[in-house]
Amino acid sequence: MSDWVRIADASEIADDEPFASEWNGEAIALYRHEGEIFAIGDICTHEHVRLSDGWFEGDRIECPLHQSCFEIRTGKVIEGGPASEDVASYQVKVEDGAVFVKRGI
Amino acid sequence: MTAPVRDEVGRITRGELRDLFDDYAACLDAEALREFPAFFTEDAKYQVISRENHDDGLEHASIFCLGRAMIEDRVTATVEAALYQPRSLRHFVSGVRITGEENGEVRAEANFLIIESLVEREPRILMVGRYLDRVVREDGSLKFRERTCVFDNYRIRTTLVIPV
Amino acid sequence: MSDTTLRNATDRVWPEDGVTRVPAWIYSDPEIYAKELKVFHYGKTWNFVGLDCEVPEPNSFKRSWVGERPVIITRDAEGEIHVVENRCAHRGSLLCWKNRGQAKDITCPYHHWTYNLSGDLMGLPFLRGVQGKGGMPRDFDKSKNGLTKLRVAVRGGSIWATYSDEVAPLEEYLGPEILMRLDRLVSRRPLRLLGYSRQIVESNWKLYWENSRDPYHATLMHPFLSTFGILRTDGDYHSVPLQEGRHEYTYSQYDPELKNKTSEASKQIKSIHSDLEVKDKEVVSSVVDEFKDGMMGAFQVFPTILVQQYFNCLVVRHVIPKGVGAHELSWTYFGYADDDETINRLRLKQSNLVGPAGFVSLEDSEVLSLMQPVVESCPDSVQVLEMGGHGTEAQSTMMTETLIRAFYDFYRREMGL
Repeated sequence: MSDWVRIADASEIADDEPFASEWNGEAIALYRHEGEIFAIGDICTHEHVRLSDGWFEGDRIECPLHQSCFEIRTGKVIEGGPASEDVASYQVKVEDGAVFVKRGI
Repeated sequence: MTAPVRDEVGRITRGELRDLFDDYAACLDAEALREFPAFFTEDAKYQVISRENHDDGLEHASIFCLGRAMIEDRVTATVEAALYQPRSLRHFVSGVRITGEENGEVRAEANFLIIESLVEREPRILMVGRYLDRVVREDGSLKFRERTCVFDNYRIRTTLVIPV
Repeated sequence: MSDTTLRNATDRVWPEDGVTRVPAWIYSDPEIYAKELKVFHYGKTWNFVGLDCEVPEPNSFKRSWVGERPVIITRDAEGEIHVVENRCAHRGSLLCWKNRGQAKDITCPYHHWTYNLSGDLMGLPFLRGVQGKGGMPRDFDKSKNGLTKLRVAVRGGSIWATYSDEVAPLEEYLGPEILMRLDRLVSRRPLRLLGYSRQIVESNWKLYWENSRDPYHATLMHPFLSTFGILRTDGDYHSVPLQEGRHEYTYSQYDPELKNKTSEASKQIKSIHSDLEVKDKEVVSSVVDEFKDGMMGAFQVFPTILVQQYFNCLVVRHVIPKGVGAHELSWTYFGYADDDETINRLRLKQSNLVGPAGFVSLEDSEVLSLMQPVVESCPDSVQVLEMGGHGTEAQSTMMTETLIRAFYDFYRREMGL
């Protein structure tokens, strides 16, 4: 994914609700936080489960299975849970109500 | 130790292996232990090892014989010295297969099941597992150059007296 | 266990003649057995659980047992060793099914509660429910719901665990004589695991415990020794009880010349065949005197292990109780990381001497498993232990039961019997 990819409509992404999406087999979750939209990989690096089914609070998503937490801005894992590796992070841009993502920050 | 000269007359067949395994089992069932070492070549390796050790690459075997002399020692120790309650053993060998062949030596595998009958006890399974063999023809008859008995039992019940 | 059952167990009265008589009910009474586990294995003792070479790398584990309880020895990512119960803190299911291996964390197969290798609960599925429904109460504290952790001590390559906060530090518990003997075998060089033999023996664990404190039976019940002239009744042999009977050690100085001398004492053993010889001498001799002291022997550390050196065969016998009428003998054979091919071969060959098929051990389980139903059928009968007198002192002979008497002296005090 070296180019910008259209992945959702901005109107679909609610304030406190993770939005699960996918592009070319890659699970990506979108989060709206303090008015801004963020995108990170959606599969926990500990066990295979969608993070977007977990607990979204503040700027972090908590895995529904074993409570590993990831920063929604960067995909970085927060120490304390069983996961030790970060999930992917994406750049996000919104154009004409459409959300585009691209690998990397 | 030098390997004995092998008489390579023809290929070893599955039928011949079955005969060898049946004769071997009959020898143990009859507790004719004095005849047991003759099933092996002089440089033979004979071992009875747990699947736990075997799968984990651990070398320790509950019975470990390097060379026929050690097999003979075990027979002598069992016949002359060992103290154990009388028992009847029946060996059931199945699934004899040739898995490889090289320079007149065949690699073979088979399953074994040994039922033990003791006084005041119903017959029970003593051991179940696989034979992993290297067999050669020597002076016209088949002999084990290696017999590794890998038992599936997590534990050996009470003792292991008679070879497997 | 209720207080009533404990009181019943202690209502038992030991025979009047003290430690020279052992009542048969101690081998079959389930209340005595339950109290033994509570007082000994789960009480103020250090239990051997394994060797460090069984968990050689960071993120590795090995199953073991303390009393009847399954435990897991882990080595975490930092290399630190932990011992935790192999029992999920949630519903009690067995966590670890594989005997040995590599893992970064421990996940229960039942509800996938996940623990780190030191036993802390890291997470559990659906802590917060699904779509706002279900889940754990808000006050559920993960930090209070980890695995049961045992206190751990490591000495050389040996790993020990205890449930007790009061037991003395391991070094003190073992004492200088055992420490010296343990260090001689497991602390001087890094260990190498050779493998396991396991057997299930249908006898009370104490029958086995006494058996390895009983040199009197060695040349009689194990005819291999006298038949091939390996251990002689007239050889140099020492039986030494320690800490008022808690531990013990035995040793003999191996004399390669002894075999060639005729001995009056050995002749008295009818099974001797002076014409029999072992063909492969490597099996029965110290080809390599690796400790440079010509010694072989064994020591017992209450309540779990007998550590034995037979020439170059090094083995820990772990006695694991499995109900009042059975025990598992788990034999762990080891050598050293820098062993060359010769010494490794000797160890493998000499391991034929001990184990489930051992030339000088197979009779033990054979006899004890036949003994158990007999002692169960006559619980009020007594055993006679007068070989070597009535005392519990160290003796320099094989013809003594001093170590068994010393054990029961200790046992009675600890059990209040």
